[in-house]
Amino acid sequence: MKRVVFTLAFGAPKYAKFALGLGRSLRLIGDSSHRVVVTDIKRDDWKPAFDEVVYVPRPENPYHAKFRAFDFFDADAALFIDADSLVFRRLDSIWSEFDGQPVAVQGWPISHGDEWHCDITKVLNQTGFSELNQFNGGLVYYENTAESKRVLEQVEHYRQNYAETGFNAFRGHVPDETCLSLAMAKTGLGICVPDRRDYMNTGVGLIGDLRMDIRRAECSFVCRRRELRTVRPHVFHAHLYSQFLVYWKQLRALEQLEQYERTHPFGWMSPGHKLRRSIERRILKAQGRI
Amino acid sequence: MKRIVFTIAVGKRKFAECALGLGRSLKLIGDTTHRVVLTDLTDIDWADCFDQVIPYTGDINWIFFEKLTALDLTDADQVLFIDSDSLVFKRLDPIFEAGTGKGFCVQGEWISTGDWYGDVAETCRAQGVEALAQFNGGMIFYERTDEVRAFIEKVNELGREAKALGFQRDDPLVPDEPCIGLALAQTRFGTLWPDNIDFQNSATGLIGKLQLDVMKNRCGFLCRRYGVRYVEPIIFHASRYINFLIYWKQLDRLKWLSEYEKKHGFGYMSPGHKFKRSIHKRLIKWLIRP
Repeated sequence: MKRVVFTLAFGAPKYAKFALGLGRSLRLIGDSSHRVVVTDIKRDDWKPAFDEVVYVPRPENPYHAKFRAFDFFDADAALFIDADSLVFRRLDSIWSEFDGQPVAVQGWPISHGDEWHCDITKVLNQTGFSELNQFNGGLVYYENTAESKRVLEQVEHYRQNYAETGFNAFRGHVPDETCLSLAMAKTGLGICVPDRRDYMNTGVGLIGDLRMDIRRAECSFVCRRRELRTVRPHVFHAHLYSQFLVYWKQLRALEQLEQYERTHPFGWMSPGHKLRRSIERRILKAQGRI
Repeated sequence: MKRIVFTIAVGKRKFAECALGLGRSLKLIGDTTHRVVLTDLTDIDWADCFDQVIPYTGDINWIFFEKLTALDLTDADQVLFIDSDSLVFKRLDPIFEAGTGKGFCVQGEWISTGDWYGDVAETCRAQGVEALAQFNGGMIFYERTDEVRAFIEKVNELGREAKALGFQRDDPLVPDEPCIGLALAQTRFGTLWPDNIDFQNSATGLIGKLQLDVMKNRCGFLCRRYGVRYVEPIIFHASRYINFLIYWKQLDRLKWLSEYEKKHGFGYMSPGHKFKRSIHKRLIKWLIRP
């Protein structure tokens, strides 16, 4: 089974920087999923962060381009991750849990009285569903199967007839999340795994410090979303934090590490490190330990 | 199915200290694999952390090849050889599971150029193979099958010809790694686990700080090997870190914990801890009234 993790980077150069950060973070932790970036931004440094670069013109609705993976590349399963994300743990458990599902996201069910891009009661009355799944579209899995196509065709249907759903537009565009949620409800296909899986988290509702250090593969924080919880996500979707220095600091560190790899050979030991070894060896010898 | 961890401590006393550290680290994390040591250091209290001690009386120049003798020396069905200068931070089950049915496994990468016990391209040309399996011999998995026995015999044959093959070290010891690497290439038997499987890592090419703390069960670091990567290995093979104080500090801590266990009973609470509890109890009574 060919599995591809992919992201989109269209328009401003900052999106390329975000995407590079994502690819580099995956590479740094040794994740072996095939990485693809779909972009209209020409750069000569997409590799080695990505194994494959697909150049396409900027789509009319970039939010929905995430559902077109199999127009861009060949695969049996695709995991979309938003470009402004960093990955701290390998994706194996995500691939394992989502395997065999036409579509999979992480979130929770919502029903009458809840708010999500509008008053949900209005949408449920208009569409006739008893509940919908609310999730962040920064992490979406789907497969190259007939069932997946049914869901994605339904997504397209809702995109074209969005006004009838009762949902509001988002930044002048039809959002992908609401359409996918409606399509999953309509077809009865796909899964929404509980938020507690911590496959992805955006740090929304943060309490205290966001502890994030790419050099230690560390990302954890306390946040108040549906409940108050300590979170150690596989994927940190920067989202709001793309405007915080801590995120850009990680991007910079990742870039520096890539440069380091280019300029240093296998197993390189710095002169400082060698000196330290030399001193410590003498100490250990004097102690009679070696 | 009988599984064992097999290590060797021969010659200088420091190797016994290292092997005790390995055994203690396994005990500390609750690994239940039967632990066997092959040694000529008979005045050591091995029973502290090893289940079986096998006396060694062989040729020291052949010592590296003793790693592959566990099928003759024990009744084990599966053997995981671990170099004595290693510390284990996670239980070994995933390694045994990954190796089951594969016969003979090491962790590394196929190489066709560079320098590894001589010019690799030249060796490949001379031996008629496309690439050599480069790996660290600090961890070797093998099973009791006829194919494995034949493979080990092949490795031993190459070992006897090592000098003629150009596989030499700075000392008179016959190196096992290039012989195994060539045998893997010639027979196409066995499995070379990719380096990013992170069963074992020696922190070669370390960048920044080596985070190593057996008390916190922590081992993580950035290193530049086949690429720059963050690693949290199951087994940390100290290798060159045997000349660094940080490794010996871990051995001291493990020894201290071992002595602590002997001197203190189940659930022992120190006077300091009791005193702290007493103070906290009063604070809680005064400050948090029902």
